[in-house]
Amino acid sequence: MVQLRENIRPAFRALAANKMRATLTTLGVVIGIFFVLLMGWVLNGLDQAFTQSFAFFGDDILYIDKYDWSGQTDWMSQRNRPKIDMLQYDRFKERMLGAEYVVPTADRFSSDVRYGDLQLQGTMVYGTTSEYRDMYSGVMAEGRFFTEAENDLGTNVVVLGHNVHENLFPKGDALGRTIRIKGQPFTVIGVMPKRGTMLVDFIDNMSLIPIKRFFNIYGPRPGVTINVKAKSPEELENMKYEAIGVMRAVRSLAPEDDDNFGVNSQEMFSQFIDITRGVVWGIGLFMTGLAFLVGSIGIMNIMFVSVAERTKEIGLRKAVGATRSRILLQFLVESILLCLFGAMIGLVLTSLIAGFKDQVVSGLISLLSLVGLAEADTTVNLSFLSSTIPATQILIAVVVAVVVGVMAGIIPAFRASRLDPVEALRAE
Amino acid sequence: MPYNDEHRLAESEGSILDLKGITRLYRMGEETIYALREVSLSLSQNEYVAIMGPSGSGKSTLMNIIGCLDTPTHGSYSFEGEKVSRMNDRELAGIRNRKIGFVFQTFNLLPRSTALQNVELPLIYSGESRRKREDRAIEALTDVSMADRITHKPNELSGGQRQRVAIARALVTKPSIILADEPTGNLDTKTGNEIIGLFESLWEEGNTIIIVTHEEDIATHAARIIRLRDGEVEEDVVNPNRQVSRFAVQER
Ligand SMILES: Nc1ncnc2c1ncn2[C@@H]1O[C@H](COP(=O)(O)OP(=O)(O)OP(=O)(O)O)[C@@H](O)[C@H]1O
Ligand SMILES: [Mg+2]
Repeated sequence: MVQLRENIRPAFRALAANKMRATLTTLGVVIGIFFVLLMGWVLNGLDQAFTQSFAFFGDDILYIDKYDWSGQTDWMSQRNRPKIDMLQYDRFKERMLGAEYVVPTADRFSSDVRYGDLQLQGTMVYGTTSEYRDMYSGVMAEGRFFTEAENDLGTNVVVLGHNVHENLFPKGDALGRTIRIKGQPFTVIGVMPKRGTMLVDFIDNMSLIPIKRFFNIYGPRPGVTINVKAKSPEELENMKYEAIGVMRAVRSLAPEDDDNFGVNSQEMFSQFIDITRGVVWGIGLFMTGLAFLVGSIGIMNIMFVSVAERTKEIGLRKAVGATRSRILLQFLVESILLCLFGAMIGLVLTSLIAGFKDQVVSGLISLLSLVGLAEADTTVNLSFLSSTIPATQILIAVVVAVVVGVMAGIIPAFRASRLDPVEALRAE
Repeated sequence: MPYNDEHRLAESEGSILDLKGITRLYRMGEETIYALREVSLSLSQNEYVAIMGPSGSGKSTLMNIIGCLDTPTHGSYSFEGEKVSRMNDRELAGIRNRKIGFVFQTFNLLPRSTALQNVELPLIYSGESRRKREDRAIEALTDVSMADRITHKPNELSGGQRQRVAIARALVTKPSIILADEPTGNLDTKTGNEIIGLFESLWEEGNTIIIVTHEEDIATHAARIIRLRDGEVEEDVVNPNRQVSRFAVQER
């Protein structure tokens, strides 16, 4: 430790004497660290956004649907699958003994929902049963959910999603009012809290009505998604096999037939996230690697110059008692400090970008719009990105800088340590 | 009076260093250059030796071997009874650090460091605490009359002052021997004489000193003179007409 301290001072002195050169040669490291931090920052934000976004799908719920949501199976072949209807749902529910809840949902995008003169665009109408609220705890903010009786009768009652509520009733006085869905009057009996997130908020754009009423309005064409809740998240995997078996039985599939339905879960989205992460990592690592390669060549070069310039000094230090390892350490420390210096600049740059992310992005957009690559009024919601660089990222950057410093400095430092003292003293 | 006859007696009493048959050769392609050829000599405590000889006679080579900076091709070298040829890098560095004080013709001060920092350098490598380093460096600088210049950098000092700082650096570890290779070579006569006076008073205080010089004038102050020619010891004598330095007296 003492040794290190004694090495840092002269290293600082040596670097300070060549500020310009030091700054220029650390450029590669600056860029490398910049990428590391930027990548970590973005990934961190994406991660957080993703996990929050898909949390409402639940880690204990399966979604049996006509389609595979993972997008791994060919879409065209899925189109020819039979849809799931209420009859199949009833038969499925009857046999699906391992589940806690089995609830149907049917959805209709871009339906006409209005209150007085206010009409909503891009909203969804969802049909479901009264069990929906038991399955998804915490879906009520105000009022009540529809009852089994209302469900069976197909009463005109509606539970509004958060955004629908906010847009149709800015004053928040929705309960008891009558809205019109596809021209039909519906009484608002309940309001849901915000469930979606920045990335995925369709769930807040829906209006829930009894499923029987849903099919009355929209006809028999929409398919049903069967929501199956396990008794615990751990049982989800076992329940999946049971669900597949039951569904095959419901559809009387022969053993050689493929499943003609999809069994989906939240996990599929994490697969999707992993792919996205992988791509970001791949690109980021490539850029970072490239920057560090260039950067460490620069550092190595400058360290060779430094050793050559200070050959006489090395001879002198050996003459007054420096061992080889002390000389090695001296130049390694210098190289590491150079890299840490670069890392610091990179950190400042990234912190500035994080701190002024909105200004930076709007600046970029107006720049792009100048050359016609973007609409001038494009807005991007960056709230998923934190406005500071996380401490772990900084730690990683420091470690990376030290590693690069060692790798770039080891050969010049080794050469310095092996200099013959007599030869070295004769230098210049 | 030939030196070695008398010296044989002293050797058994524990000389600082013993060189036996030291040869240092350089191979330049086909050619072999004998920088030193079968050099043997011993040195006792508190000797003051001048090494003389024409250019290329091997003076610097001899100093570098004595100072453990260079390794002889043949021969054996013991420093305070220990065989130098058996030492590894750490041990050699340790000897250079604690037992030997080098003074160079070109001073070799670190240009960006102050006088104090330059003098502290050997103590850093011996692992002294900061406090002790500073105390001892100031002490050494005081010994060479440079106490009022400790925060000066080399380019803020005259040549004579730089050499004084360099001598303080050589003294600061209280070495067994001080090796000075043409310490006045880059100084004018007057300043050179002052430096020689300084060496002389250091000798009087009990230090052991070897000095390489071209100038007979300077050698006359030494107690013993070794003359080299073509890598061989031509003469090794007690200085018959030793002069006490006027400058040393003046200084004090
Ligand atoms: N690295 C080397 N390679 C080849 N020959 C060398 C080397 N170093 C010294 N020599 C040779 O060894 C001989 C002795 O050199 P040395 O430097 O010891 O002489 P010197 O007495 O100190 O001379 P000067 O008074 O000029 O300093 C010279 O002939 C020199 O050319
Ligand atoms: Mg010489």
